[in-house]
Amino acid sequence: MKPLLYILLLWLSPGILHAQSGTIAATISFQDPSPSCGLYGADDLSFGSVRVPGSGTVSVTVNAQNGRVTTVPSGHSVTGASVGDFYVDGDHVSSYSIGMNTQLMPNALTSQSNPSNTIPYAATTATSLNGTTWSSAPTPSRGQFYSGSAGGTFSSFRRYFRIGGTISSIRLTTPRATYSATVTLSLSCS
Amino acid sequence: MFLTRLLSFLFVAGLAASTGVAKQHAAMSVAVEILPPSLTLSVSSARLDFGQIGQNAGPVELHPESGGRSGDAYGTHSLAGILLTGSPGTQVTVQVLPPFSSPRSVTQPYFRHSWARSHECTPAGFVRLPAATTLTEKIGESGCTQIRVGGTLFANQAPQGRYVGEMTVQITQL
Repeated sequence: MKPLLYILLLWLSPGILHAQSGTIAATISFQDPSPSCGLYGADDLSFGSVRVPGSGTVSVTVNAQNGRVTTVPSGHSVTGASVGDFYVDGDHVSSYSIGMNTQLMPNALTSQSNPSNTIPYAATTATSLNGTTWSSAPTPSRGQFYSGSAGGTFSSFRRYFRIGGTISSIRLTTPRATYSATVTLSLSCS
Repeated sequence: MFLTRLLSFLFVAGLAASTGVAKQHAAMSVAVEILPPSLTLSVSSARLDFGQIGQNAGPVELHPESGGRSGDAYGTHSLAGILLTGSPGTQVTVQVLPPFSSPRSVTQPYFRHSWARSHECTPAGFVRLPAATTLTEKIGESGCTQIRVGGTLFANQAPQGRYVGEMTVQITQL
């Protein structure tokens, strides 16, 4: 067996010697870290409980910037109204956008008991960098409603949003019911 | 040779599966509860008090617009009043049924009520309304409507004494 082992070692040796004196090709490539972003803390927008007027019409506005509730005519009874809010943040992001599609930004609230009964709704939004100082954001419409940059490529960001709006044409004949709609938000970042 | 090939390799750092775009969805609800119009009735005074009226006194009137009294009477007096609060514009009918009692029932005096309305939440701004037994009113923009009831007592043939009545008010929401 030993002669066979020697022959095998002799056969391998040129390769080993060659490897010791040769070049090793090593390629290292880095890809950009993946952007990640999220949409958090969605609190629902509520117009509370509204009593129909005895005559005429009433509209109720929840101010997106300050959360205040007003009615036209003024002084109408509204209880429990509150602004909706959420925030977005992300890492390794250069830009981001928040979108709403056809069903995502409704223009009416629908009765849960009778879908043919609706109350007109027009949304307004506000945005903030720190959750304290608010400014009005573009009026939401179908499709993208807000886009922003994160401050540079691969940056982290956080931005706060509030959703308010106005419901209108509430009158004595408006059926007593709970009316609702769903706002679906989509966030994309790159 | 094959060892050389074995030592040649490719090193890749990073996430090969990355697309460079991240997406997320969230939902938020918008809701309102629609309630019927509100209506609350409070009676500030159901007592209609003309005070002491002398014998053979002429007509004595309690003025609903001012709350004052005129005629041959003395002592304290008071008018009846009701406060309606609720959703502005809510319509109601108000019907006053004024039973009246005299100190003695020898001769019944004749009573004719009158009333005034205010859309203030405080007792001010009363305006006299046309005489009628039934009134259709709306709750004012302030959320209040007040109705004060007075009237005239013709007690010419009635005995002297204190004339006091309790007003019965019937409110119906339309």
